Amino acid sequence: MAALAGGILAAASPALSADAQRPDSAAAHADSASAHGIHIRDAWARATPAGARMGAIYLTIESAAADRLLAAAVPDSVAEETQIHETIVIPDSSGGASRMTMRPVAALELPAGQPVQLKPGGYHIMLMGMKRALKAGDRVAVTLTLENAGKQSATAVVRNP
Amino acid sequence: MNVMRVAPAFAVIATVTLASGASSLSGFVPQGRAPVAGISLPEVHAHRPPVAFHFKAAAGHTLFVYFGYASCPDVCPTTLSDLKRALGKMGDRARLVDVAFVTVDPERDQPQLLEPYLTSFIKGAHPLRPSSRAQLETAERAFGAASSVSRDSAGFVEVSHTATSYLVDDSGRIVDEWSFGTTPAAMAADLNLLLDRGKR
Repeated sequence: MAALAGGILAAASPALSADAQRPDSAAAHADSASAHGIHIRDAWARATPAGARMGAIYLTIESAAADRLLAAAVPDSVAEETQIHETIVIPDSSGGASRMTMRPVAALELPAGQPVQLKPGGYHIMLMGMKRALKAGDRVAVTLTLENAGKQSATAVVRNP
Repeated sequence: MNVMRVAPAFAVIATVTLASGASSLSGFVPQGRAPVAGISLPEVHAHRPPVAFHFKAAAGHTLFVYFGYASCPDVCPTTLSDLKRALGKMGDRARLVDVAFVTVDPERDQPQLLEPYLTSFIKGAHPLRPSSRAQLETAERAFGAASSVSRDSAGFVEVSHTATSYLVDDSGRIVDEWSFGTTPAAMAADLNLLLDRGKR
């Protein structure tokens, strides 16, 4: 895990390791680059609140060529299911309170050369049916599936935001 | 690009706030809304019976109220984390902020889950769990909030809820509202202003 910064987490690496001694900041800003011109950076997961069975991973992704993010996956040991979600606002047509909800995103457009942020209140990788609580300092391997660039790996650092 | 949709009302508020200077509240100050002190919900705990919680800050305190649910992966934990950071900026004065979280999904948010969930963010916070849909809606109407919980045929639960944070003074008046995304710095500044006002 020490060689993580600046590289891609190899698929064979441990899916998740509790390494609370290591400062978050070291890997939180690590970039993953690939031969397909895909850059994934600032990947992080929210530490799991007590009792919660849902979670979220956020990151910034940039593709040199136009592409689409189709899916994201984490190891089975982390969550039962993973979906790309968008938090949206539903205005109330009768002038009442607007509400926020989430909806699955089938394909997230990645315009050429433009960073796309998955961040609180916007897009996120939703972890459904968490198998264990993520603790600050843990790392979670994330595999993104892109329409053109195929599978891309990144590592999300767990933190208490 | 990430598109953060903002309700039209929020855009108007932002414009007004920019012009109003640093010594005033960054949030929205609701006008003409009835006090909420007369509204109460069951405060639930994992290991003791529920008690009635009235929407009114303790004397000299400010009460923070949020309607959310524990399975919410994005906006609820973001707001609670931001509030926690805001309280961290306030030093000893954070003790004067009472925190209440109303679950809009009481079926899944049983007391044994809700209390540890909430207090993992903020110790001493009040977990509120309506005992009926009607009770929840009465509280929501008083604050101007709304929510829905629906379950599809596959068992997937979809929840929508107002993501506004409400601040209530010690007479039970709603004195400030924060839209989702209010920064911890703005939260702390507003809380300090509200506490200053309470001393007069």
